[in-house]
Amino acid sequence: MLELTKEPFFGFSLCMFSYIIGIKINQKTKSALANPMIIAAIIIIAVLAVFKIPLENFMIGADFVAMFLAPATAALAVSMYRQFDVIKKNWLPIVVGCVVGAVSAVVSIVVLCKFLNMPQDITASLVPKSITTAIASKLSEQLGGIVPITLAAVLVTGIFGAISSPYLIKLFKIDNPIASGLAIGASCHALGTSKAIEIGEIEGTLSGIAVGLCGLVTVFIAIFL
Amino acid sequence: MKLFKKTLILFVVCFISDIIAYFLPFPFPGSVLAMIITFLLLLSGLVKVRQIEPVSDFLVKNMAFVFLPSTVSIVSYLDVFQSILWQFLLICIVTTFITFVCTAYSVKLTVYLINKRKEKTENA
Repeated sequence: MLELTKEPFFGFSLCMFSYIIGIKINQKTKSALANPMIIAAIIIIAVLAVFKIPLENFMIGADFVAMFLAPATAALAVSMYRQFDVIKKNWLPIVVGCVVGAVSAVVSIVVLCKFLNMPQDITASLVPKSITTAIASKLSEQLGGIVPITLAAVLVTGIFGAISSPYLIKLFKIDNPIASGLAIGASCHALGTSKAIEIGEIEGTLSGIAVGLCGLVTVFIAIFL
Repeated sequence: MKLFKKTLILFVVCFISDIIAYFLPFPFPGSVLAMIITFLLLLSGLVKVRQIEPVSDFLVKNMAFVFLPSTVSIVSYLDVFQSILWQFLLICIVTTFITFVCTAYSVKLTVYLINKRKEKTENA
């Protein structure tokens, strides 16, 4: 019986089924903690554990889901293109913010990892943690990191950032919406952007721009790591 | 048929990006290259937003779905997590904080300098 879970349809359908449930629960609770993807992952892990299905069998179908990562990343370009006028108008602060953001993230992570005696593969997994998951997972792979650890770090960063950014703006008296928008996007990617949109329109737009651009700058920094 | 074409455009861009990434002298993620190429195609007008629009929006909106398999495989790394849990959380929180402050102040300074320069040229 267990052999049948090697059918690609098993893994793929399980992904879709649990993700739909995740979205349904998220729509009912409307909380950032009820993230559809986390709910879906918990359902899948539970199903695999209860029926004692090997992870490898699930992955045969799940790999087809992961294949859509590249086109989804490419599609991010459309949102960047729609904001092109805003980018042109504020190009200098945007470039400065994204470069400083990416550099400060990478440097602070590498230094802190060294300080805490983290092994090489953990450091490599954490370096891309401030950028969008799409780019972070590929970058982690490239640097020799463990992709699931990177995903967890990206998620923790995003949740912490989304909760704390309104307080950080007040605490450090960031009275400029361009500055707070870029800071949110650079430090806590798309999850932060969802909060930035709530704070204001300029904040949301600039945060979205910073997510894409910081990811790009980080990839270029990584070439020299 | 239309959805077919829109999906095809994105897939072909991804395939070409992977080929280019393979021949680059340094490691570079093909998916990021696909993002750059798509942006350039839109900017040059060779591809119009409407030619890929509903598919691209669907993919961006449901980006999290794509990460479901890797998130599930966290279960194979539970022992790694247990051994570094507090360092992991500390690094995530402290570096997010540092990145936020550095970015916010550098942009604040840049905007301030731009405005000052503008005032100077207006007064002159």
